Amino acid sequence: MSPNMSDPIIVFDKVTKSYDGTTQVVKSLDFAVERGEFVTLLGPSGSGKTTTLMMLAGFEDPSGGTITFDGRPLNNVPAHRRGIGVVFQNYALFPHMSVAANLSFPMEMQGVGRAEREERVRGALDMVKLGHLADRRPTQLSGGQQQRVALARALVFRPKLVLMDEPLGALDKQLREHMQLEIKHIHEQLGVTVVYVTHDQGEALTMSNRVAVFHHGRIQQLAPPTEIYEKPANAFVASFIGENNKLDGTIAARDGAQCRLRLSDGSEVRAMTGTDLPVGAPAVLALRPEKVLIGPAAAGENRFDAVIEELVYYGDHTRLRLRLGGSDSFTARLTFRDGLPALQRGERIPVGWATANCLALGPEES
Amino acid sequence: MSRRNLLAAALIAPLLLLVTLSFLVPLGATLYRAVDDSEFSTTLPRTTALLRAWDGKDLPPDAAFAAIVEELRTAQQNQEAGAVLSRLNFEETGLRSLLLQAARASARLAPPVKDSLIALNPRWGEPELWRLFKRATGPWTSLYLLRSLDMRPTDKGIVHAGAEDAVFLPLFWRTFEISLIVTVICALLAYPVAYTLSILPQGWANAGMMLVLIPFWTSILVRTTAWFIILQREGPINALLLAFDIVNQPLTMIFTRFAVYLAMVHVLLPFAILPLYGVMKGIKPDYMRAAASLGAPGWRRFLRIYLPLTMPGVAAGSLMVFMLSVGFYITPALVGGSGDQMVSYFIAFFTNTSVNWGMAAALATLLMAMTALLVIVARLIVPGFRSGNVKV
Repeated sequence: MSPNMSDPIIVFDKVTKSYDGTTQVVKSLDFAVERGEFVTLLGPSGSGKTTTLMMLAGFEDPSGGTITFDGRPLNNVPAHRRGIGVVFQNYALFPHMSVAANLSFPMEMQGVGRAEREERVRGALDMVKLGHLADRRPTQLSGGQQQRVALARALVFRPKLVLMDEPLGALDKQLREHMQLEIKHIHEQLGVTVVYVTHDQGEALTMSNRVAVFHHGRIQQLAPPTEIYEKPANAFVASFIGENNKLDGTIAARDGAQCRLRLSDGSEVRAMTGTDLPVGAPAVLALRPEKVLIGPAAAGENRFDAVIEELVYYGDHTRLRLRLGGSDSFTARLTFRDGLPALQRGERIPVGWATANCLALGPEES
Repeated sequence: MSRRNLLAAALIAPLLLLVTLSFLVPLGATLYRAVDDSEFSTTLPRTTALLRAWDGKDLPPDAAFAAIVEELRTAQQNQEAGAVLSRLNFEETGLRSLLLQAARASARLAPPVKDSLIALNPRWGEPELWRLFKRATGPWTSLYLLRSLDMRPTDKGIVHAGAEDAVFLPLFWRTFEISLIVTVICALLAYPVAYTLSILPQGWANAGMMLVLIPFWTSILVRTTAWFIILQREGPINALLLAFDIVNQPLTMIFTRFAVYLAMVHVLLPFAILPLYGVMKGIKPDYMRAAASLGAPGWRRFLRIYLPLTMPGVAAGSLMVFMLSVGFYITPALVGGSGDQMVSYFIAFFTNTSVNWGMAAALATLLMAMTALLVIVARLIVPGFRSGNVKV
């Protein structure tokens, strides 16, 4: 049976994983990855993202459910027959083999002839710009070079899917940003499907077609980066991705896509709501610090008076910590095109924001 | 030297002293003993001076005849002749009685002493005997080292012993054969044990490690004695085999090569397990996972990745076992037969029983040199000896 090329390449169907039989590390995963997609599994440590990757690679067996890859179920298919490339966090380059031998290894396993192997090894090393280091041992290479070799090794045998488990975690910041772009370009160039695990949200947002945010063994949201950032599905996503002010309250009234949220100090805020929160349900108001307006700009429905608790100058922006809506750590991130306004600690200022920029969110899925 | 350097020197001084006294000095003394030849020149100084001046052709001057008889008699009276007599009799059996005969007759020998001596025993007229004496004046000799290799120095150069007279070369060969077989068995047994220990959960691994270490902490003598009892003709193994009618007469196990292998492997196995376990513990599971993701089935993962990565552990353990095996004494002496004894047995024999320290030292020196040579060769040809850098 030949898989239909328009079908998803990976389908997780009610996949669960438990190591001890009682606590589930992964709770009923249902999602699909399209061919050629770059999907990032993002979450804090212990959220189940790495376990999900390990089940896909075949290093762990699901406790329940089915993973389908390229049209066939993966249950009982051992890792070495899956044909999935993996880039490991610490690269796992074989230290007793040269760089070229490392790259040649998967093709030897496939029974590719020597001449073709050598040619493809050269091609893969040229792709990651390391053609001159073919005869070195992995231990003689820098971290960034080892990372590229690991990448080349996972791609050289032409897998349909490449898994990457925090591949840039061991690199310094500058190199990491450079490699992010390089991986992105290779992905675009080869059209291979990539499932990428990271706990770095910046990495997830810049590289992926879609991001799956993991927490407590569940996907909290699976969406393109803009949607993850602009329209977080729940309070966890809102706080995990970027920075958010969170104010606790209850839904006072609903009006289509908008609602009125009553905060703990009694004041009411108009907010967008995507989730089906009923009137009277507890909800969290999420508002990005850069969306907060002060002074005369703070006009419209959501307008409050707040006291400046603290002022911190960062050069390109200034952060205000405000007492507002029952919280004394409400943050505003201000950038000024026309110089600094005269603000002082303890000053009472008008604060506001557009309704479209704030969300009333339910708690995370668990 | 600054205060700091003085303090550092003071801190390492006790260790340096210990190493010097317990290792370098005995080692040096052993090497020295293997080539030292001072018995003749110490006991018979005048004869030595005359023989050293002699050109070695025909017979030495008459004075040498008179001197050797005179000095032998004095030494014999002062009970100082034992060492030189043993030394000469070792080189050629019968020289002890020849010399004692001359010493006893010395008072009755009419001058010229040369003619009287030759009349007493015609051997005194043979130039070969005198050339042997001249060689024995030292100060160095290759006699012991050559004898340890079944050769002997003569007037006409070095003579090899015939195959039927060879003693020590077959002994060295046997020593290395037994050691090599013990090493191979230990490596084969240790590999799965160390692997199992390395993948067990920590609690079980600790318990398993205890099973390895408890025998390790028990004295070699105790463990060997236990095998001595177990392998007896009337011992528990034979009793069991007889009771279950597996054999109808007791098996001969004690005093066989089998018993030597069994007991030596038992004693040395921990030395192979411990370094292997350490190396295996350090191999990250990601290597094997990577190999699997690259399409390698289990046996190819083992042969291409795991085995090469664990070779340094195999090499370290094997080296340890081999070096210890080569010097084994107690175990073959207790459970082996006369044909299973190793070099150490003869070193002990020459030290304690025949009191020929020259031979003991020569055997020890050669054993050390051959072992060192084997280890160097092994380092060159066996993969994994050099920090896991294996050419694939």
